[in-house]
Amino acid sequence: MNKDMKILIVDDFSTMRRIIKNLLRDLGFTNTVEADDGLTALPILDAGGIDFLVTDWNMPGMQGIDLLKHVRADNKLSKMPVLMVTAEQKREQIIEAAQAGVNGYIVKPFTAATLKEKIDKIFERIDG
Amino acid sequence: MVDDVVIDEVFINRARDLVVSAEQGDDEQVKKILDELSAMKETSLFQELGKLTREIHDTFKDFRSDSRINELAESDIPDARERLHYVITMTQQAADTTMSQVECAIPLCENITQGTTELLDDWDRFTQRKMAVQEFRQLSKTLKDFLLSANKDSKSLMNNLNEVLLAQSYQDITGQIIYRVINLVEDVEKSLVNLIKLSSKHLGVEAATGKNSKQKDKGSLDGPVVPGVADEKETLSGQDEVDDLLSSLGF
Repeated sequence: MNKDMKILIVDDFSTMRRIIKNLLRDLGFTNTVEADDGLTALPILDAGGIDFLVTDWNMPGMQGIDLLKHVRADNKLSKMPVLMVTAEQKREQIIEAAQAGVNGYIVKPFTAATLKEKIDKIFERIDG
Repeated sequence: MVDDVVIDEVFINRARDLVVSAEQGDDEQVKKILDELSAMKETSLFQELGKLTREIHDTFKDFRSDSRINELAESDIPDARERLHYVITMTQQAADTTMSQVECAIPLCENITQGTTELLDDWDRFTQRKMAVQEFRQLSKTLKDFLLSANKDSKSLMNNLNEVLLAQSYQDITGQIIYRVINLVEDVEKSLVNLIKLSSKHLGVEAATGKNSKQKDKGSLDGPVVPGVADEKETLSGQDEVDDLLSSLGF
């Protein structure tokens, strides 16, 4: 796993973006950018250079699930690993995310250990 | 209202006939026209009464079928109460965690401050060659001990700071919950306005459409799980259950 990879954090709450950013930094990932919903995330993704997407689900504008579907449908972005970090934990929603091709799913509130575990698992699969 | 309806062209013509008949002294004709006129008035009165009755009936029917009001009173308001209680619990937990971590961190900072103050003092004496060899050996040992403990303390401090950081995640969850309650309050307001419109309908005020129902649109999300409010069957109770579900799906 490349610790210099560029990570896009998408969440409408700036507190949560800061928490994720700090936790990632603690795990050795310092190259992060932020967006506050799917619509603001899209141009950043389209501009290229993002290696990993961490997104919330419930956001105004464009929701995380639609952002995920957009990424999977875009030839240039479709291989990008996507980790969903959300307060949504209905069975059908998790299944929907899985079907849309999410790589990991974390429910809020979460711990630093959970974030590390999920990221490790995602990149183990990709690298392995 | 009743009189307005009665006085139409037919009525006026018959009234003229009545005057003519009376002037001619035609008693029979006068009696006949008077009967006719009062019958016209009665028909119109009954029509008005019928209309009024139907309006009242419709109003009650609309009121009963506006299930949003029942839903608000029976489930949404108690639900919002639970959610707000959960906000209190979460903010309190976050405050407690933050304060405990800060309380753990303060003595660590004090250790470092005290240790560096003493060492600076000794170090100054050493650089000014005011220290005996025996004392320097002691200083060397003290320095090593301090470096070890400062190293340990700063790691603990880092840990405390991370816990403080994580404790702030309540803001996201409580923010989402409060947004939902605000939406509910707007919903209650709309329903009350509708109710007022419905009850003023028979007074001639323009009626409300009544179909305000802010039913869950498809694609609307449930937001944070609040203990006691969630639909237990459909909602998973945490990361472990989410992981289980995902692994059953081949993750």
